[in-house]
Amino acid sequence: MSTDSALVSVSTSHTEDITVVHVAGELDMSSIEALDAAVGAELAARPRGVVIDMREVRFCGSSGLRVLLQTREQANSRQMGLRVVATSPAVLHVLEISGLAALFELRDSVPTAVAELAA
Amino acid sequence: MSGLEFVHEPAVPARILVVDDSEASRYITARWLRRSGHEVTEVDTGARALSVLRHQPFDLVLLDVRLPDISGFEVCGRIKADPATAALPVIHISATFVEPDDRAHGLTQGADGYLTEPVDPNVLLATVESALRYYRARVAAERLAHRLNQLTEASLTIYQAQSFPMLIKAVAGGASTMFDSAATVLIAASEREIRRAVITEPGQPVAIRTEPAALLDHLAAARLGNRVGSSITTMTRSEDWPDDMTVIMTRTKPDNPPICVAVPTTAVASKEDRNLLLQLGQASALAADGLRAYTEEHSLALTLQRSLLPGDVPHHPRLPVAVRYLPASMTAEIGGDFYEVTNLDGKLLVAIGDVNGHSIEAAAIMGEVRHALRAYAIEGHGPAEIIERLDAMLRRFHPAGYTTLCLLLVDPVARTVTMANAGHIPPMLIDQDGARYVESHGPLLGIGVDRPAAVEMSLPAGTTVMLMTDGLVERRGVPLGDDMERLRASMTHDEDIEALCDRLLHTYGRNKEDDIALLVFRVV
Repeated sequence: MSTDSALVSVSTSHTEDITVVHVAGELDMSSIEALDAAVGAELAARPRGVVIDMREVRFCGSSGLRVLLQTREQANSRQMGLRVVATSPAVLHVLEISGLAALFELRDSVPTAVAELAA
Repeated sequence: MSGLEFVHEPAVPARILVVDDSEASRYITARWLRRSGHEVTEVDTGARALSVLRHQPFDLVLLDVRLPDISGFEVCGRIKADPATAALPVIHISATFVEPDDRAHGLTQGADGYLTEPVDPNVLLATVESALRYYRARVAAERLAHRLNQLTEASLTIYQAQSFPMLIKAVAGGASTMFDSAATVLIAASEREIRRAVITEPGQPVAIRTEPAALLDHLAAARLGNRVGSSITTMTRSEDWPDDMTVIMTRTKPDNPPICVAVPTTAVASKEDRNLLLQLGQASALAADGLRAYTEEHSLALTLQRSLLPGDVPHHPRLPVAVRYLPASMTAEIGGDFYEVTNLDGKLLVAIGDVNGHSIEAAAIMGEVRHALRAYAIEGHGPAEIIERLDAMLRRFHPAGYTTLCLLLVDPVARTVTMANAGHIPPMLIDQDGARYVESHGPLLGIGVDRPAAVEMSLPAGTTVMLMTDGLVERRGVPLGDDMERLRASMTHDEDIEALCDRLLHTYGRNKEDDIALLVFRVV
């Protein structure tokens, strides 16, 4: 599955029962719907774990953080594992300033994140 | 179709070029044509024919096949090859008996008729009329298609207008381009005033002026009453109208003021043209309604947002404070940025924050957060405790109301500050040693996790503290850290704090998609 708007592109892939949501582009209030919808649909399928791959995100506004936080709440309440893969300063700096870096299991590669959840 | 109207009309005068090297036959042909009212130009060579066609408009060419310089077939071929004259009907006249092959040759070269001399005057005139009829129908159809295209383009520009001045400019420009004429547009600006946009001739810029509403009221009362719909009226030249004008007045919703689009009556002579003007008027009225609704909603939201922010900032002689609040540009929705300065028994509670989202709901949550934080503060709680309580409050009542907040309790006498930051852009400290961010990042509000303890710092005299929301530094395509660093590097410790606010808004605040709140204080 893949959703594209002018600013953001979202696609998902599945490895066993781990779902990876790949996000690329700019996450702000005008583009967040694509990610919100994709993550919502994937969580509803109740995978064992979810990886949000944000390596290609060039801009993350507060609406991007909101989706991450809501995903975290839902994953916690359904006892699913959640990993966020981020390597770009655009994402890491915003997570640091908003005090959320410690709240997420941040990883720098998708295979590492998937392997942890599958273990 | 206006083109078909000609079928029933007597010969309409046309501009005809007669090309013939024989003076006698040219004279006879021209005389017949002039007698039936046509305007005739005569030339005797192919070269002269092509030259005069380049400089003068014609409706039809009568072309002798045998010319002394270039053959008539060749002249016809060139007329049809030039886009400027390709549609012009050409009728060949041959002085000699011609073989059917020659006739066919002439027609395949693009000629629209072929006559052989001796030509009967009635046959000549009937052939000319027939070719003109076809030509005029084609011209009318092409003109209509062209104007429909222009209507579509004008409508797009009209629907994109984000303010009333942009809208009336777009409507006047569209009308002037479509009808290749002057244009006047009237629209209500308030109950007492209207705006008039005028283009005096095609290609000229739009002039906009404000007038009393009387003219539009009078027109509306006489032509439309309070009903929804359109009326088309002809107004004679007067001080209100620069010419005899055809005026379309349209209202799409009851009680909304109508919009008027007017062009000179001579520019909309056919029924199709008046119909196009009507469509332009209707598109304009719909766009005006949309804009009116949007403007009202936006201004209501702004008023609400304003009412939720502090009116005045308390004045403290040892701690001058400068604040700025800049709503997002007109095109964006309102946001949830806020600030607070409260005097608590000699200490100042200073806060800056941002509720996630751009909506009236975000602004309303902002109001609740601000009031709750003041309530917790007067109960004597410190910054870290207030933040704990606000976090719990948001989780209970606004689960998706994630909010960033930086809270400072300043003691201007002891020159100390207690600071707790819940996920907000860090405050900047500026003194003689330079400018630096106070890096203490607790998580934002609304998620209920453990938070770091408050930070205690001393603030020696002369220290400046700056608090801001991300609207000031966040730009698409630029890493946040880069802009924060650029901002930091631009600071000097002794810049007047009011001047500092103005400078930052001037540099960073232009046409932003987000609100900006900015608060600066200096310990003296």
